[in-house]
Amino acid sequence: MSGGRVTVQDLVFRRGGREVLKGISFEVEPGRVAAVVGPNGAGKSTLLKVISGYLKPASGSVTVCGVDPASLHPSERSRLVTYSGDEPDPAFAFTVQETVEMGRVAAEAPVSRADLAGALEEALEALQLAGLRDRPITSLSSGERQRVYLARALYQDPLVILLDEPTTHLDMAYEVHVAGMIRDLARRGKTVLTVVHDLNLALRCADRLVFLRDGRLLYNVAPGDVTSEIVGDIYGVEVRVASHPVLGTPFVTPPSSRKA
Amino acid sequence: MATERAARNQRLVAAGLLFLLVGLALGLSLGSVSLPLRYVIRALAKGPSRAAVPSTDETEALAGAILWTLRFPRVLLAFIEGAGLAVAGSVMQGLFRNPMADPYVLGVSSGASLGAVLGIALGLGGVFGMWSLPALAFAGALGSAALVYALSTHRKRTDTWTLLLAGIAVSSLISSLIAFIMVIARERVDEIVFWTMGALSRASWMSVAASLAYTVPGLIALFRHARALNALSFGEEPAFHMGVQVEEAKRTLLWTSSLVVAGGVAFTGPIGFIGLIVPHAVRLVAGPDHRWLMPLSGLFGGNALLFADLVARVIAPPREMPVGVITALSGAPFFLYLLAHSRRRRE
Repeated sequence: MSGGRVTVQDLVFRRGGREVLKGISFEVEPGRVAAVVGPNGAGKSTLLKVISGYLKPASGSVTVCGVDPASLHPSERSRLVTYSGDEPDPAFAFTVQETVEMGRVAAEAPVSRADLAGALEEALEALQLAGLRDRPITSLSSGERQRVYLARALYQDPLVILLDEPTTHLDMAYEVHVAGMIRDLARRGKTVLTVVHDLNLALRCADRLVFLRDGRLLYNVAPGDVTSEIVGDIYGVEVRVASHPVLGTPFVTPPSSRKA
Repeated sequence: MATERAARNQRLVAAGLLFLLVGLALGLSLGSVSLPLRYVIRALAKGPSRAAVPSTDETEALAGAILWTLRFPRVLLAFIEGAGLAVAGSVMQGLFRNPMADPYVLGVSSGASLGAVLGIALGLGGVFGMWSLPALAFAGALGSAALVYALSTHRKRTDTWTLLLAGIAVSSLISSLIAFIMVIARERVDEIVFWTMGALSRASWMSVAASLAYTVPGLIALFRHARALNALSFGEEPAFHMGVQVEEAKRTLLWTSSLVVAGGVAFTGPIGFIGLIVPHAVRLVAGPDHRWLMPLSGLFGGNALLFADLVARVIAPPREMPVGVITALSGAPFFLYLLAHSRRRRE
C-alpha cells in the first residue's frame, strides 16, 4: 500500500474578503505524519478543509498523489483523501456500526464482502468500539462519538487522512491510544495531517510540525528541531523544551505563571 | 443487531402488506353503499368491462359499477398519494436533519392551492375541472418549489436553512394571495374551501394513471439515493468527505420528492400530517436507515391515507368528510404524542 504525497503550493484562501490563508507552501511525504499547530484562528482547520477539496482556494494549488482532489469525482476523491473533524449533533439514531459503515457509502463495491467485514471489524477494533457497535450514536458521549467518526474515516481507508483535533473530546487514555493509532496509520503507508492543540501530542506522533500563525506557515520542522524560540514566536508565550524523561522525544513544558 | 433489525423490518413489511389487504377490502366494500365482500371479489374477478353489465342480480351489477368507476380508483389514489407523501416526508426529514420537516417544505401545498383556487375563481371548476384544476395545481406547486429553490440557491449551492425559511415566506405569501382571491370570488368560497381541505372524492382512473406516471419513477429515483441520504443526514460537510455528490443528491432529492407530492396534491388538494407523522413513526420502530425507512414509509403512508379515507367516508353518513380533515384530526394529536414521547426519551 503506497501512501499519497500531499503538495500545497502558494495557497491563498479568502473568507468574506479576509485572507485566512496567505500563501502557504509545504509538502508531506507519503506515509508520514504532519501535525499542523498554531494558535486559535491561525487557519489550521481551513488548511485541512482546502486540502480535502471541500473549500476552494482563491489561488495556489493543492495536489494529493499528483491530482487536485477538488477536480475528482466525489467517489474517487473519497478513496484518496478524507477529513474527519467535529460534526453537528447527530439528528437520527443510527447505530455505531451503521455510522462506521457509512465510510464506504461512496465506494462502488470494489472489494469482497468478507474483506469489507474484516475492514469494518478492524476499524471498530482500532477505536475500541466493538462493545458499542449496537448503541445508537445519539446516546453516546462526545468522546465516544469522536471515536466513531474516527473509525468511519479509517473504514473509508483513503491514502491521505486529515484529522482535525482528533483528541479534543477524548480522555488521557484514549488520547495516547489515538496517538498510537496515527503512528500505526503511517506505518501502513497512510499519509496523515492532523491539527492538534497539544504540542506534546504533536511531538510524540508527528514526523513534521507545521507551525501556522495568522494564515502564514512560519516553521516546518522535525520534532527534534522544535525550540522554545519557535514556540515562543508562534504562541507568544515562554516555554521550555526538554527531553521527555521516558520517551526521549522533545517535551514542552507550559509557561509558569510566576516569572523568575 | 444488523440482522435483527433486518428481520424486524421484514416483519414490518409483512404487517404493512396485511394492513394493505385489509384496507383494500374495507375500502372497496365500505362507503355510502356498503357492498358485501363476495360482490367485491366477484366484480374484481370479472374485470371492469363485464362487472357493470346488468346480470340476473341487479345489486351485483350496481356493485360492479360502483367498484370499477368509483371505489377502485379511489383506494388506489389514496394508497399512491399516501405513499408518495410519506416517502417525500422521509426525504425532507433526512435532508433537513429534522424529524419535524414535512413534504411541503418547498411550498408545494400552498402553490398547488393557489393554482387550483385561481382555476376555481376563473370558473374552471365545473365541467373542465377534471383536467384543468389538477394542471393548474400542479403548475402552482412546481412554480412555488422553483421559486423557493431559486431563492436559496447561490452559485449552484443550495443552502438548506435558507430553503426552509424561504419556504415559510413563500407559503405565507401565497396564503395571503389565496385569501385575496377568496374575498374577490366570494360566490365560489365553498368550492375553494373544499378543495383546500383535501379530498379523494375526485379520484378517477385518469388521476390514478397520471399520479402513477410520476410517482413510480419518482419513488425509484428517491430509493436509489437512500445511501446518499443516510450520509447527508449526518450533515452536508461530513457527507462530502464520505464521497457523496452533495449538491447533485440534494437537487435530485428535493426536486423528485416535490414532484411526487405535487403530482398527488394536484388531484386531491393538500393532505396534511401523513408526510410528517408516518416517516417519524416508522423511524422510531424501524430505525433511521433510509434503505428501510423510505420503502416502509411508503407502505405505511399509503395504508394511513387509505384508512383515513375510509374513516372520512363512513364517519358522518350520508355526508363525506374531506380526508384532509381526518388526517389532521388524527395526525395532530398523534404528533403531539410523539413529541412528548421523544422528549421523555431524551430526559
